[in-house]
Amino acid sequence: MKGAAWHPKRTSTLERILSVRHLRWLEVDWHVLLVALALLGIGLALISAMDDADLLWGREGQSSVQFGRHLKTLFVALPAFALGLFLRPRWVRKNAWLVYGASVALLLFVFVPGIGAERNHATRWIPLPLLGFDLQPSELAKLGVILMLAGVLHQRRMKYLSEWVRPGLLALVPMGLVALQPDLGTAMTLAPITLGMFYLAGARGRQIVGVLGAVVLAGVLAFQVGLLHEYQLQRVETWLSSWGADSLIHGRNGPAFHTFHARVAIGNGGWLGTGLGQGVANEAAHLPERDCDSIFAVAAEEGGFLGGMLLIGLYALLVVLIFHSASQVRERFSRLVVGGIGIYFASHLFVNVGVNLGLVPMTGLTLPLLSTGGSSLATSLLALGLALGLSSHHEPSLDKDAYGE
Amino acid sequence: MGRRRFVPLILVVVLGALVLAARLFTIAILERELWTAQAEALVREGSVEPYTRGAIFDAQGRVLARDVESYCIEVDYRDFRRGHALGVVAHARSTLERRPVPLAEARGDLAAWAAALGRLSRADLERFAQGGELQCGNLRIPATEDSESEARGGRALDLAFYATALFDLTARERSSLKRGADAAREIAFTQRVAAERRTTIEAVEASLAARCAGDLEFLAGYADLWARDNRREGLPLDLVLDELERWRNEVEDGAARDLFEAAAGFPAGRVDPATLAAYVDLGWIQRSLRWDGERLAVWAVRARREWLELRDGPVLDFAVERVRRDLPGSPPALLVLRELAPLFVASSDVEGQVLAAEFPWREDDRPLVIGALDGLFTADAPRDRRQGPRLPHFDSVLAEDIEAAPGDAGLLGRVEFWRGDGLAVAPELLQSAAEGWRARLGRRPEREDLRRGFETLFLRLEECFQEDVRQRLEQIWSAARDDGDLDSGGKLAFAEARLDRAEERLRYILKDRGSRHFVAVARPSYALVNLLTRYPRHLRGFEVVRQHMRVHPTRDAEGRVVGRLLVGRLAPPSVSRRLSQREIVRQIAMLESQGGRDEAGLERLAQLRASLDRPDEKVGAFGLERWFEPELVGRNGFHEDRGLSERERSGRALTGVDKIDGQSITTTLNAAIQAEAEYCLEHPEGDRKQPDKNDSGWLARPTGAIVLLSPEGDVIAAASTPLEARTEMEGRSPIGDQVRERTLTKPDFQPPGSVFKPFVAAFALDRLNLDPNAPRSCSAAANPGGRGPGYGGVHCHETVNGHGTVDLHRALTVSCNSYFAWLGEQYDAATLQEMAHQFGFGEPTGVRAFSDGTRSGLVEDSVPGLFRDRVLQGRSLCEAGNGLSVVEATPMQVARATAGLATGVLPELRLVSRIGERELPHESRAIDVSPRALQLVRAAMEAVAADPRGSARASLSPEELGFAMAVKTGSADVTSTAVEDNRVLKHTWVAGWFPAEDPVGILVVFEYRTTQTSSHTAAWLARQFLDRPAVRAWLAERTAGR
Repeated sequence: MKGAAWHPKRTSTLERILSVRHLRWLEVDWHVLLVALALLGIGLALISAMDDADLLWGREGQSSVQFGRHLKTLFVALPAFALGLFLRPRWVRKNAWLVYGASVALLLFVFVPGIGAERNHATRWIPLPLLGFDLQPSELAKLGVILMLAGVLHQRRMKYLSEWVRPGLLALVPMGLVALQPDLGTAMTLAPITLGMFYLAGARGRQIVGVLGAVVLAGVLAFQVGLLHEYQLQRVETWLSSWGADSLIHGRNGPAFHTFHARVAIGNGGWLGTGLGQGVANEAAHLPERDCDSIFAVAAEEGGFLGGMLLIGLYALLVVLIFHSASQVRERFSRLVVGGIGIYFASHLFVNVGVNLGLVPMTGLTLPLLSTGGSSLATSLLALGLALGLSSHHEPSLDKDAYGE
Repeated sequence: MGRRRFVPLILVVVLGALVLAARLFTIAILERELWTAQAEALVREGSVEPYTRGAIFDAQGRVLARDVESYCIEVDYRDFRRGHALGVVAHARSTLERRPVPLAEARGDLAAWAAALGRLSRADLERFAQGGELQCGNLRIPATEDSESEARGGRALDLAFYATALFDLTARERSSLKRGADAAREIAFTQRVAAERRTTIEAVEASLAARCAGDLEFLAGYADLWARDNRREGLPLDLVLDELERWRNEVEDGAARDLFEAAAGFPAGRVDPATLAAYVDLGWIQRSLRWDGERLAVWAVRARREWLELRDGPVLDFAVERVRRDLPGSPPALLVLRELAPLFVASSDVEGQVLAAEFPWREDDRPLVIGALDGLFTADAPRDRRQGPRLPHFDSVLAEDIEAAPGDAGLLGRVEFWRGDGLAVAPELLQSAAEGWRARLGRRPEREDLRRGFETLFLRLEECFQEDVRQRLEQIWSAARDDGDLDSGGKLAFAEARLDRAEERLRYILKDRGSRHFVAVARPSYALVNLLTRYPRHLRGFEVVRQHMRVHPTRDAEGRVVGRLLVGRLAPPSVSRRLSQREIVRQIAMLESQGGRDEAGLERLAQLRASLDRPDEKVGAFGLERWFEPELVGRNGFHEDRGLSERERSGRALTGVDKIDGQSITTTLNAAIQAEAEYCLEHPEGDRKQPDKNDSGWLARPTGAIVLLSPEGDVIAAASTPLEARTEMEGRSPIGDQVRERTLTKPDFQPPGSVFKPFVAAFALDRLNLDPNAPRSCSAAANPGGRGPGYGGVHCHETVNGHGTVDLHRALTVSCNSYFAWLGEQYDAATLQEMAHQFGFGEPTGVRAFSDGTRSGLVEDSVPGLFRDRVLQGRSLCEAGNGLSVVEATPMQVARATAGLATGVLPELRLVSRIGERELPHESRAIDVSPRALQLVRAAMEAVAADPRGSARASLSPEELGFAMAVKTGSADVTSTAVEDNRVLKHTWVAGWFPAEDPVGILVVFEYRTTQTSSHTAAWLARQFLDRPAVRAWLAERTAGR
């Protein structure tokens, strides 16, 4: 071996980003994958039943529910899962800012005339005809925020409030841009992700509760002083009045239309449900966004209380399993990312199901893995792949972190 | 970061999941019943099963009126738009061009346009949706940068629907095409259909062309039949297309109104269209409905017109009715203000909410709260520093004054001069207005009077209200302009959330409006129904709908309904009935909003729905139809079904109320005799023997009545004329030209004249000890101070020498006025009243069975003040003895009294003998006059026709008739001076029975205002009637075997 100096093996750019070699297949949390697949399967069954119901009731051409399109979107989005799975943690850590910057740039692009598409007076989409769906950058921004926060927080212990400023400001930028679209619902899901990751990074529970309290107080004050937009004010008022069944029924043809139909669908389910595709939500088709934001109401009607519980249980199990995976990750950055992804799924679960159950004011948010919507599906599959990949990649890390691990 | 940090997060997730589970349990399990009921309500379809109204028969079982199952043709414009080739192509073209392409225009290029649509592909439409160019046949839609403002996405979806709708796809084909939609994005619809059907593109295009031609051909066939049935001039297809275009406009206008109201919260017509056009951006309505600007402007004007029609129609009707209903117990001024409040509501939201809570304004329409304008637009409204409009209900000064004097309706006079303008009004005008309101509301107000008062207020307040709305909009607009908040067109844009709300409902609104049916043909011919039922595929949108129709099959030779004035007809429900129906609607809405209902609640709801009038329901307007409404009317059935028949088998309980048909009624009328009576009245022949004595004026425009009774009191015929409205002519009396039932009524002063004499005589013989043989002189000498023969100021019709010496028999035979003037003088007021009572004068005849004060429709003038409340003494008694001046009677009363005279028993008259299975009994009372007295009078009445000097000898003698008739003629002057042909006008009568010895019929003939005496008028009309074939046949039948 004389004269033969050792040279590290040259790696291509692609190999620096993706690696199959470093993935320990036996350590991949297959439980998470199984639960996620179960949720995907439930979503497919529900949407297929909706499509059939539309055909049965002669609503083809009028309804946006298309099983074929959803299936196609799923296939288009599946590579995102693989991408997340095989991404090398080191590359992710080094380029977290890149992802964050790209997602902020996309959020800005939607405001550029000719690029962003406006629908229902909101500018949230960038049309991607080739992929068969429109990109909603705010979905991607959630992942960008998780990666960016993990990148910033893995070197911080969050013991002092001064350590909150930089990551807090970085989280507020996409939040503000999303709120400007306007999409207050999505902006609000970024808050629990941010606070949850702060907590994982070391922030004290009391601090988190204090900030949460301040946010709630600010919201109440904004409501009281009348700083909210009229429609936001109306949604809060509708939510407050929707607790009483009589007032909800009374306002069913007004602002409480959506809440009422979601409540009717869920209430019509009983213990065992009406059966797949047999619910009033599919028969009457009055429930808006039943394949997307309101898919839980359809599931709870057609699967009943037990079906609804199964869904909530599966989802909660998914979140808990992701948290468990995260807790097993030794490397701090990856642990934060996986934990953040768990919070991402949890916040979607609580906001989406909370809206459908009337626990939260009406806001449009998907239930990832179940709802239609290309951006939501792609982002949630990417996040899932990332969570599984980061928790099973074994790559020695020489980077400094807050604990010097 | 320790791993333990995940434990609290996991706990939060578990806790959160438990909260969600608890909430899910509450809704899905604890509140299940409530929400299941709501869910069922969403998919239930209620259907009303119309009851069959009871029939009306004559005594022989002929049908005078009955409900029949019939058909009408209705148009469901949504079906036409989505299913008929012309509708599909015209609307697809409208979607492409963003203007309402008329059906007539589409008709010209139907096949070519249809083929061009079929040649589009899904990819073409996707590119179009993204703003790309689209070439459809020779029409090119250029690319746009602003696909959103051109609503390209929605238009592309619509076009995809229309393009496939043209092919008449089966469910399997639809499903197959849908499955392969993505793979075949670039392939034209026609080609995909050809592949699916395994044929060539040319064959598919040929079948498309054939379908277009077929649909158009069948529409033309429909149009031909329709035009023939309706006797319409012009090209039939053009006329039908015009009708379809009208319905299309109505559908779209209605959808635009609903959209506007969903966004604004008040109806578009509430604001003047010029104000709307000047300040408010309505382009979103234009885009949603694929209209152009011109169409939008037309809509705004129509919306306003329809709102004004609503205000001046139902709103006003109900306001008047409610005020009349509530007036006895409420302060009148407040009642009127209550009705004004919904229309001219307060200036602020708070006041608006007070009103909304206090008054049922939703019944009529949503009010426009001026304060609510502030939150309507994207622009922030400046604070309104002006003093808001002092709407009447919130005018504190007025409110205080009303509180101080709640009963003073005159305060409403100030409302007429509302706001500052009133100050310039002269005090006397204000006073006059105040007095006007006091007069209107001080007593039981007349509808028309109250209506006029409201109209004044409406006009006055509307003017001020519109000015206030305009000023406020200008204020908001100016502020928005200064802040740069106006839209690109320089108008105020609606707030986004409001537009979202409207757009969210667009699909439902279009479906709802489009599915409302229009009646195209109310009574279609068999050929038309046959065409539609045999070829429904080519006439989509046109439906044959079963309906109940009231028919009157028994008609006279001229096709007129027999006994129409007695039988009556149906009409839409009255305002007061509709008002009571609103209460039911309110109760239904209240029950529905309560959510969870038990079986009893569901039953109650079904009962209420069943008690609602159907939209096409009619009720008795007058006559027997109205009087016997409680018996004739039934109850609609109401059943709820779920959407699909399979669902019905799922075992879920459905509620329902079965229909109950109305009861039939059998009248005592003989339709054949009734028809003869009506014929004679309409075509009187006059005096056959002395034509020069005829009253040609009356014969040309006859007015009168004929009554035929059985001796037991059954009304066999009761005819009146005129039967049809005729223009009023100067001369005799406008009342004579009016269509009205005249056997039971006395439209104006109606003395019976000499037909009253037999009753005076009979009673006097029995009670006043009148010696029938005692002679009385009828001469000028016996009438000192008079102008010729007479007595006590009453002149005898034998004006030259008088009748000489007459006894009772002779006096009755020749109808001597002098004698009966003397005889009247033998009475006093009490005995005269007693005589009238014995023969039923001044009393109801009994035809109005079940008369309990709640029924209406059969009007009978019972004349309770029989003698016109005159002091009966001196000359009045003389006139009463002759049936003149102080006495009034209806033909039916005279007939009943005559029946009493003929039989000695005064019957309660029957017009209806049976209701359902129930027989109505004959009722009567004995006349307390001795048989001898009655017999003497009967003999004299027989002589009236038989004696050579009898007044009815020429027309009604036994030789003429073939049987003996006891009769009395009468002529009662109703004018004191000559008005025509140098003669006074008189009512002429004949009252009697036949055959004289054993009566089967009691006949009264009445002629209204003739110039000749009864001998030349009523007597000849009686003769004409008795000569009619049906009467002869009836008489022969009744007298056979006697």
